[in-house]
Amino acid sequence: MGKILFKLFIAGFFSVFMLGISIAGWYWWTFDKTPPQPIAFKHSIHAGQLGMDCTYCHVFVDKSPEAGAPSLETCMTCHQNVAIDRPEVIKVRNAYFSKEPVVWERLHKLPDFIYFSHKRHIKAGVDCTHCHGVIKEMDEVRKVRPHKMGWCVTCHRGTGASTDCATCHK
Amino acid sequence: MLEIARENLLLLKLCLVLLLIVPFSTLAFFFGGSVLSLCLSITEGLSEDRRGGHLAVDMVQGALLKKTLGFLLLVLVACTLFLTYLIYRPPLYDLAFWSACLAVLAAGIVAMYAYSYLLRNRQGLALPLVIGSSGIAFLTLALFLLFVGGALLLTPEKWPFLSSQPRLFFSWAGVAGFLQFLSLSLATTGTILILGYRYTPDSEVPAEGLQAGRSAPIFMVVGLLLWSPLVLFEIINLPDLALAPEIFGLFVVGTLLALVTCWLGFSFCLKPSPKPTILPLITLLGIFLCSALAHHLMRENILRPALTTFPTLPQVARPAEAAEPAAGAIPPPIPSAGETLFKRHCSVCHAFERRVVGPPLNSVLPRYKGGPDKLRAFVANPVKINPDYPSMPRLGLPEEDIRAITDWLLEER
Repeated sequence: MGKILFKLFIAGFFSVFMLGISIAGWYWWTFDKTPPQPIAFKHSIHAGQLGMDCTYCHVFVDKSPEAGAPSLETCMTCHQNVAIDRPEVIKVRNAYFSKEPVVWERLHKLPDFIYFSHKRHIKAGVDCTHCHGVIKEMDEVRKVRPHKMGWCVTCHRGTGASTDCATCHK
Repeated sequence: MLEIARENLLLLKLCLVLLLIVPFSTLAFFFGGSVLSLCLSITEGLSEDRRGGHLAVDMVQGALLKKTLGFLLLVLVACTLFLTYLIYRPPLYDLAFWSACLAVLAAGIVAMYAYSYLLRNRQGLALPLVIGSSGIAFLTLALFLLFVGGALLLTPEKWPFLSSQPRLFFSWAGVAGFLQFLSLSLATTGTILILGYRYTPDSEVPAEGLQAGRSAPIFMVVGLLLWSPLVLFEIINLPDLALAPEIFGLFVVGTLLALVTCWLGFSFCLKPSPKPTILPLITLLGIFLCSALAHHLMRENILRPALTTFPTLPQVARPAEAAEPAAGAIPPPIPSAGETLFKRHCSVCHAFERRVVGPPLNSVLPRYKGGPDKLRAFVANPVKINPDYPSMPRLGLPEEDIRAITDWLLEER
């Protein structure tokens, strides 16, 4: 009886952890993995090969807390004529002509109690790559930094920026 | 050297995975065996009737603590560190730090040799125990530094600040990796003891080492029971970007192998075989393989130039410094309105020296040198001129912006 119980305990114990790892995998796949975008916009072509400045599309990055996603009009300044036969560009043009907004998946979500301003960081001379990685080398943009308090405070300490609570928690 | 490494990257990565399996599984037994030997020496002393102690102490001291093996382990760990640097070249500490880690490891190995020598030559118990304990402390410290330091490879966001904020060295994922190694070293020691077990069924008197052989599966089972929650703890504390479905799969297979190993050990405990069984060792090496592959995939996910390149961070100026610029410093030129507008609206398609989407401006601007109005009219209502290029879109800029851009292009630049 004792032997059977011990065997059952061993089997149950490891099964629980196999299940735990599988659940962790499911959670990561569902909630933490980079979601696919409705249009496979390649930063590696626009910011990389063409050398476009980030502010060309993210026009509010140095003017407001939010960097903002570009409007379809911005895309259409070039894609009126350029690469109009590409499948992903066709999606952009279809959305533009049908006046349907492209619902991009937001990657970097900060809680409501955090006040983060792109403008302040850009004005201070922080390069976009510090927080977003080398975007111009990415086909698909991924979240490359933890964007959690420990990471923010580490950088603020390292650069001599304010670590006062009210800086980020208004 | 770096060129050769770049050309043979795949081969080097394969070598790194192999290096992580072979020396680290041997190091696991070296460490676990040393700890067990020390514990048995303390509990059983050096009396002649210590049947259980004989086997463990003899195995660890006689077989594993051969000088060549200890030296080989040190060389292989150094090779692992060097290969990691060669493949990924992370700016993580300097040569002095990693040399110090190896020196601590070497001190631990030498101390265990001294412990083994003193114990064999019956030089009393106090001195070997002191030396053995310090050897274990050195080995533990070296392993902690290696595992927690190695985990920093998965958090490149910490790299620029490591020198100014030493506390960043610590990470829960690194601690979990270190504790996993300790639990696996316990399991490995138990598995090797099963291999060394000798049972004589005809004799009523237990063979030498029977007690140690019978208790070996307990070490193995306890080690593996501790390993599984530590794996889950590590996964929870890993950065999202390091993870991939294959990594979860490898850890599930590893846990399954741990279950099989425990099962085999338990069967051995119930029905000892006269012949040593190698099956638990094979499944245990499978766990090391799964773990090494999973950690390799994590490094591959993280250590890419897109994630590990850091431009210099600006330092925030104190108010006093901001008020008084350094003597002789030339203030940076303020871009004109035309330049700013050009960068924002035109530079996406036009460069001066090369073709981007549109033609290089140095080749077209001379045409407009005498007639800015002609250029303004073109920018306001572009027409296709050169069939080699796509038509320029109408940007819809206000007249003053067009004037600022064309003035900058034709006069100021």
